[in-house]
Formats: sequence, C-alpha cells, structure tokens
Amino acid sequence: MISVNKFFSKPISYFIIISLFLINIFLWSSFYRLNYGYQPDQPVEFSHKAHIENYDMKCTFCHYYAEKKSFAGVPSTWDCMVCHNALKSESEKMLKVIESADLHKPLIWNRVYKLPEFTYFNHFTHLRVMIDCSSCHGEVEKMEKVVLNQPLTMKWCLDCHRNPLKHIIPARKISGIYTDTFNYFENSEYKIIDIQELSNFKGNQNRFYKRLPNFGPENCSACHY
Amino acid sequence: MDRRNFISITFGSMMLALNACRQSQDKIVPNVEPSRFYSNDDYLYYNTVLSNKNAAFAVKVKTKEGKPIKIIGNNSTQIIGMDAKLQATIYELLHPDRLRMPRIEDKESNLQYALQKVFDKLYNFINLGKNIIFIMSEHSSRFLNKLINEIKSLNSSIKFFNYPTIYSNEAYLNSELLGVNGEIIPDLSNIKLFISIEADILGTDKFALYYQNVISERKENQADIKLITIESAFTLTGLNSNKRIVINKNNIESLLSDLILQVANKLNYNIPVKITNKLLQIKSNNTFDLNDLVYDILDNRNQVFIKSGTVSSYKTTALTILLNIILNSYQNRMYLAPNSYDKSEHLLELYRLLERPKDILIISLDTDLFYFASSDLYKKLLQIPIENIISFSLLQDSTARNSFINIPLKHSLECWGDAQVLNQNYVIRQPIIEPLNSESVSIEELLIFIKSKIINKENTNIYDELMSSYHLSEEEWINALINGYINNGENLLFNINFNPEKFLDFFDNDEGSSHANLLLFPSLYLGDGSYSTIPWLNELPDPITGVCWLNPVNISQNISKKYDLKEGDVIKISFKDNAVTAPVIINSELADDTIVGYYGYGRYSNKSLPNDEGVNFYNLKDISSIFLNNLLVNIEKTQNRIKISKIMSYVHSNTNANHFICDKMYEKQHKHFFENKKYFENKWIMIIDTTKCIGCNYCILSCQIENNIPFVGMDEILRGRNLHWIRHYVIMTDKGYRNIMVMCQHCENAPCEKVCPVSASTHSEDGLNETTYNRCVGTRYCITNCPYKIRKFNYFNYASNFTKSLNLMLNPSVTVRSRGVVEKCSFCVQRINEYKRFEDASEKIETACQEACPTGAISFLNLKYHQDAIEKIIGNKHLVRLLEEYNTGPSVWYLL
Repeated sequence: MISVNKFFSKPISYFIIISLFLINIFLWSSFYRLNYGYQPDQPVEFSHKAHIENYDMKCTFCHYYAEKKSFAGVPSTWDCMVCHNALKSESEKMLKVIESADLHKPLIWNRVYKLPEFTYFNHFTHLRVMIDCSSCHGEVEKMEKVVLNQPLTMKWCLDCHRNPLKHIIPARKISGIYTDTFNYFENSEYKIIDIQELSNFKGNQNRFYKRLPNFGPENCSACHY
Repeated sequence: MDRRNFISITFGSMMLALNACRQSQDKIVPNVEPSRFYSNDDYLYYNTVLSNKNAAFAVKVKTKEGKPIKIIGNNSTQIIGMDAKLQATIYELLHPDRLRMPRIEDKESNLQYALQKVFDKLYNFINLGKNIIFIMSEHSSRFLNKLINEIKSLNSSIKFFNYPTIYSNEAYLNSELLGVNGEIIPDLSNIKLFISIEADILGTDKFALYYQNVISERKENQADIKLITIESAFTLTGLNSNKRIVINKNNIESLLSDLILQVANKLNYNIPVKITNKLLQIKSNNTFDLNDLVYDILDNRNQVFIKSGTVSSYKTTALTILLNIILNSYQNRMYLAPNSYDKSEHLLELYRLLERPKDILIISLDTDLFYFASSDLYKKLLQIPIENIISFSLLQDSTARNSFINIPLKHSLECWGDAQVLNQNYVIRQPIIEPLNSESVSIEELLIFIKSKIINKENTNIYDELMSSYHLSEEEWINALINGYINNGENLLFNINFNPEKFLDFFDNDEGSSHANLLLFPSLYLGDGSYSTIPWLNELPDPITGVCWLNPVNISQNISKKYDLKEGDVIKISFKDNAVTAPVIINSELADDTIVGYYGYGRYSNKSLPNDEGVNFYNLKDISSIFLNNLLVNIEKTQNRIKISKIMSYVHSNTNANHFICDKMYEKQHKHFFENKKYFENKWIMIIDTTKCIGCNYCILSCQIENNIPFVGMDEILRGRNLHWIRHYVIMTDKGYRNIMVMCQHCENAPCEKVCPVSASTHSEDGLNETTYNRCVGTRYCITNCPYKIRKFNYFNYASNFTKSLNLMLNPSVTVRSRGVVEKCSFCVQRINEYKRFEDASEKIETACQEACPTGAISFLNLKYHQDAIEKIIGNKHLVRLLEEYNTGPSVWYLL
C-alpha cells in the first residue's frame, strides 16, 4: 500500500505523469481525435464506385440539394426506387431499400462527414464557384465504402480559403455541378478550368467578396456565429 | 487510495476524456418520399392571426424546418413591429408544462372518452333544466360567435359568458350613455391632439401596438400628433407624451369638470342645467391652470380625441365622454373594439346565477377562472360541487386543478380559427404546426362537437365549417390565406346617441376614508396574467422601474415619507375585508397619495417559474369593485423586506452633458472608410431615432428570441447577471424624456478587441465587431474594457433552462452558448451572412430588433449603398454617438 503522497515522492511517478500528459497531447493533436479513417458500415451496401463507373452517374444526380442548399443531402428512398424499380430489384442488397419504400420507414445511414455544430458550412456557396466535390470529399468515385479521409480541421479550411489555387480541384464532369441548371458543361469535354475564370462564372455574382475574388472569407463570423 | 487505484483512475479518466473528444457519430435519416418542404435552409412564412383577448393582430409566422421560430407583423395589414406578448406565444406553444392527457377525477383518460363524458354531463343538465355556463375569455372571432349563437339557439339553458378579466369602464359607459356596445378606439390618422386621461395607450393597453404604429406613422409623415397625458401614475404614455400633467385622482375629476365648463363656454354649447350644477360642484377643487390646455383644444377643434383608461373611475370616464360630445370628437373615424361589451352577458348576471351553486355546470374554456376571480367570486366557485366544474386549458393552472374533468386545449398556432382585427377586416387563423398533442381539442372543435351532438348529427370537420362560414370561392379563400386577411366591406360608422339623462347616475359619492388610492394596471408584458407563464416576459424589465419577475407596488414619495418606507419594504394593502401584502418601490413621478399595482402575477408556481413571488391583486377586489381598477385602500407597514430584482435603475434625471453632436457624420464616415479603403463593400450601421423610440422593450424580446438568449431567473437577476443584449434607459433632455436603447456599438476602434488574449473578439471586413464563442475562454477582459457595458457573460449554463421541448423553439442558425462564454449583440450576423450568400433572397436586411420595433425607430443600413436613405432618416435631427469622447467610433448612431 502506497499513499498518494508517497507516490509523488518517487521520481518515477513524475515520469509517469509527464509521459501521460505527453501521450494525451499527442493523441489530442493526432488524427485519432478527428475520426480520420472513419468508415462505418452502412445499412445498405451502397457502392459509389459501382454507380459512377458502371452507369456514369453524376454526384449531383442523387445529392441534388448541394447545388442550392447548405447541405448536400442523402437521397430519399423514392429517389433510389426511381431506377431500382426496374433495375436489379431482385438483388439482395436492395431488400432493405424495398422494405423501406414498402413500409414507409426511412433508411438510417451513418454519417461520415460531420463538422462541429458551431461551424456553419454551406455547400451552395462552394459549388457555385465551381469547386469540385473531391476537393473536400476525396475521390469518392473510387470508394466501395465511403471513408473519411480529410482532417476537417479549421486549418484545413483556412488553407484553402487563403490559397485556393494550390488546393482546389475545379469542377469535373463526374461531379455534374450545375450541368442541368446552368448548362455550363453542355457539349464540352472534361477540362481543367482556369481559376481566374471561376470568378467570371455566372453563379459567382457575389459582390460581397469581390475584394478577394478567388479567396474565401477569413473573418470569424463567416463560419462561426 | 493506493497506487493501483490511482493509476487505474488516471488512465481510465484519460481514456474516457479521449473518447469524449472524438466527434460524435451521427445518423442521417432521409425522407422516404421526396418532401415538398425539403430544405432546412428555407424560411417559410405563414400569415395568421394572434390575439390578446379581443385585441387581434394579423401576424406572419416565420418557420424553419417546420417549426415556428419567430412572429412578426403582417405588413400587408399595416402592422409594423410586434407586441412582446404575441411574440412570446411560441414559448407557450412548446411550454414544458403543457397538459398531455385529458384527466377525469385524477385519472388519465383519452380524448374521445373525456369529450363524451363532458357531453353526457351537459345533456344530463339540459334534461334537468339546469343552467350550463360556458365561461370564456374575451375574443374577437366571428366563427366562434356564430357557433355560440347556434348552440344558444338550440337550448336556452346553455349560457356563454365572456369573462373580462380587466374590465373596461369605458365599454360599459359607452353602452349606457352613447348606445354603443364596446370600447371606442379613435383612428388616430386624422387627429391632431390626443388627450389621454389615465389611458396607457402606448403601454398596457390591449391595442397598444395599433396606437404605437399610427403615432409613429404620423411622425414619419411630418404630421405630428400632440399627445397630452393627464395621470396620477407614471405610464409609458406619460413618458412619451408631449406634455404630462401629474395630478391626483380626485383632482383629475375636478380638472375635467373645469375643462368641460370652460370649453363649453367658449363653444357656446348648452349643457343641461343639472349636469352644470354638478360640474360646478366638482370643479371647486381644481387648482390647475387650464389656459394652455383649453387653448390647445380649441386650436385643434374637431381633431381632438380624449380617452379614459381602465383605471379611471366612472366619474372620469363619464366626464371624458361628455367632453368628447362637446368637442364633436365622435364625428371622426373610429373603430369599435370587437366584442368588448355585451349587456346580456353582464358579469353581474354570472353572479346572480352563482347564487344557486348546486344547480349549475361550469365549463371553463381557456380562462383561469379561479385565478382571475375576485375574492367573493372565488368563495362562490368553491361552493360549486367539484363534479360540476369542467375545464379546458393549455396548462395545469388553478382552474385545471379544481376541476373534475380537465381536457388539454390546442394552442392557437395549432388549430383553425379566425379573428376580427381592429380595422374590421377578418383574418383566418391557420395552423402553423401539426398539433403537438393529439389528445387535445380547440375551443371551436369542442363547440362543433357539442352542437352536432345536441342535434344528433355527425361531427363535421372544423376546416369545412370555417370555410363555409365565409361564403368564399376556393380561389378567394386561398387568397385570403395568402394575403392574411379578408377585406370586409362593412361600414365603420356607427351611430352615437348621447343620453344625458343617465349621466348623473355615475356620480354617486363613493368616497370613504382611506390612506391611498390604488391604481391597478394590467402588467405591461404579462397582460392580465394570461401570459404570466412565460419566463421571457417575466424577465423583460419594466421600462420605467426596471423591475422584472416581480410586481412591487409603486408608491409616491409622500406615502413613502408618511409611512417611512424604503424600496423593498413589504406593506399590507387592505380594501374592505380583503388584504394583500406587496413589496414597494418608490417612484417620485407619481402624484401624491397614489399607489400603482400591476395585475398578472402570482398566478402560477411550479417547476418552470420557481421564483414567482408576485402579488395577485384580483384577490383584493370584491363584487362592489368588480368593475373598478381604482380602489381606495388602507396601507400598513409590515416588518418584512424583499430584495427587488431590477435590471437597471432607469430614469436619469440629469442630462448627460457628454453628448457630442456630430455634424455631417455620414459624409465624413463614408469618405473615411471607402476612400481610405478600410472597407470595400459593406459598412453596416444602425440608426436609432430616439424621437420615435417609446421604450416598449419589444426589441429586447425579439433579440432574445432570434439569438437564443436564455432567461436566467430571478436569483441571477438579483446578482446582476441578466443576459439581454439590449439595454434600455431613459435620459432627461430639454425636449423631454428620451429612451436610449444600448446594444453593442460595433466600434471602429473597439476597446474589447484589443484586450482579448485568444482573439475571440475580432473586427470583420464588414465593420462588425464579431464574437467567436468557440474560441472564447471567458477571461472577461472585454467586459471590463467595454465602455458601454453591453457584453454579457454566461456564469452558468443558462441554456439548460431550455428544457427538451423548448429546444424546438431555438433558432437553428444561431449557436447556443454554454457556460463561460461572453456574448453580445452581433448585428444579427446570421441574417447578414444569409443575405450575402443568397443575395437575391432579400433586398434589405432587417435585424431582429428592427423587425419588432412598433415605431420604426431602428434602421439598419449599409453605409456604401444606402446613402440616400441615411440622409433621409437623419433629416435635420441631431446625430449623436454615445461616449464620442472615447474615440471608439461606434457604428450605432442615435438621433436626438
């Protein structure tokens, strides 16, 4: 039996406490805390890769809120059933989707990308300057199961806001951003857009950030309020 | 503790802490069908109507994600701003103490069974030929009137009473003397001189929002209305009037008689001799020089209106009516307050029926009868066998506790209905949200149920019934819902026949020996008490005394000297056989021998309002004084003392000499900011016109609702920890009282920014002084350094006051702050950001305070783009910035 006082009297105990502190700091600043590599099982074994590679679908075909609203959204069961009524409706993977549509019970997905609640993020403002989905979400088109492979820290956000030329991937054909709404990519092949061109884009009529045409806002209240 | 334990606890807690640091793993639940209202970004606005008793106002309800989050005025019906009581109804909707299940004799049951039980009881009484009394609060609904009349015609033993909690003398005297059933409300748009005799038209009046709007509109059009107040209390109307005459209640009567005689003399109007003699008799006490007043009145002949208030005696009201007749004031356009008086449903009739308590069935519809009852009515109610009392209520109030069957009611944001607004238009009340409680019923639904049961027909749908009562086509009906009103072509004029015979009936000598004259006003924010369950309203400071959570009586200086009373002393007020004890607060602006009390407190004490120590003045009254809010009372000092919760001591009698008058401010500022490239696109400024501001504090509540500011409770207020982002105080200038609302001034050289050790207080590219809550560590240096003292600190996790149901009420676009965080006015940065994001969404940004301001005193502008507007608003008024000598460069400009 050693009392607490006795414990502190030995040099080894100081070493333990300091090393605990260091481990704590290391873990705190590591990706562990950021859920890096978080790859949960989803209720339906949905494969982004299969849909994009085999059927040439665009991101905004299902995540259609992203072009107009703050959140990208997950398609409703009916959105799935529009195609899957006819296609592969006998597949085992479809059972849960069909059940959801029949019983009128929503599918409950596990959320992979999540910003803290004190941070405001808006998909629309980013998409209308033709920033590609993969700038923030990685190459989802190659994933069977979506994985969180971005740190989602404030530094990561600000890196882009301060130096977009270095970090941003301009809109690709695969994302289908505004291909319906503005016909921007109509009849055009995949091309890399000049970042300067982005500011002239029709959707970017935001006069408030004119001072920094190609930069995101850096003031706190742009995201935190 | 041994070593092993110590280490295991250390490791264990560290692992726990690390686990807690991981981001929480959320679920996403999409719809099964794509939703029509798919977006949680969109604000949807619905037009509907909300009413405080019979005063209904057309409102717009702002909803997000299907929840009502804010109530604003419906501009298309010329309503600017929104009354605090009506704004706070969204709290009532999600009130944690709302009834969940119908209850029959302490046993929970379901709605169908309970309603059937109610009807069985009713049917039984009809068969026995006994009286069934429905007691409901005053309302202005045409649909409800129609249903009531239909039910009444079915059986004569069913009676309906509109129980007026605060009785308007004027309505009664109007019906006796003028043959008009109801309170007359002048259309102020063509009146030049308004004399208010103890009428608090800008404050506690039910129609205050209307008066506030019209008076500000007149100021805007450079056609100012002169407001003269003759009163013994100190009301918001007195504070804002051009001239305030402070005299005792008895002297008001003599002053009025003198005034009538002088005016009648000048106009050669023949008053009947009997009346003249009486007036001469009363007049003799008058010592006030009336020359100016008579001159004023004759100057604006035919454009004068004189109004008495709820606290006026019969004499005063009768004299006011006579003066209006002499001056021909009733020739002007007027409105009649809907349903404010009905002779056949006179309160005395109710008393008569209660003589035989065994033979009646009482059905209380949303009236807390046991609270509002005067002392002898309360005794009579207790004599009724409990199985004959049925109540329908929103909350577990005293009537609900004293009833046999108790059924929850739907909130007015949950059910269909209608109401008549002041300008005689009708507004459909449409449900904004699905009923939160399926086991609830609305009053209209109940009456339809009873009607269809009596005539043995199938229960009809309320929507069809309501729609068919208006005889509108489908298209017209939809338009009525979209526009928010149905234009009603009815003639506004009504005939006035003055009956001088009855005039002297109201001049009985009722003087007794007493120490003081108690005036009982409805409370400014709690009304008659029906809003007293809302903590937001309890915490709003009274603009004159600054008191919140309590209703101490205001006593005049001479009473305080006579009885040696200090603030917080408790006195015993006795009127005939009844007595109440109340703390006092000294108000030097009151007339001699005057005590002012407020109704509405002491109603409700349970978990949601732990500190309600208010006084219930309804207990003080009895049958003889049921129509009076003006009592001659005896007072007596007791040994008790209470600490009175105040947010600030208000009226500063000295003019602040430090006001600099800023000449050509906006041109200089514009040059400075945009030529020196300090700002590029935006520089937001707020201009507050103190000549328009009346100090109603509606903006404080609006700000509180918009920005998720929690209420803190009375104990915390006593420690000076209120969280309101706006502070109100009154200064005395050479032009009279001025209300100054102080919020964050968003300084150019902000002292708070320089001292923050963690850069949580920064300056934005729009000239905003922004606070980053997640960065704040709570050193409170900024609070110390702010010269305006508007930064507020969360000492505890006050947001936990928002219990589970109240979480739905929070504005989803503003962060909820936890403990240890400094917060302050953000110029509604969430609205600014929204505007920036969706530029086409709205042309101009309205801040929350601006939205609620009934007088349009607040304007929020962009210095770069709105130069013309700024120039127009400033006009030739003096522009002042607070504490200019500190060179902080505030972005809030005041016009004096």
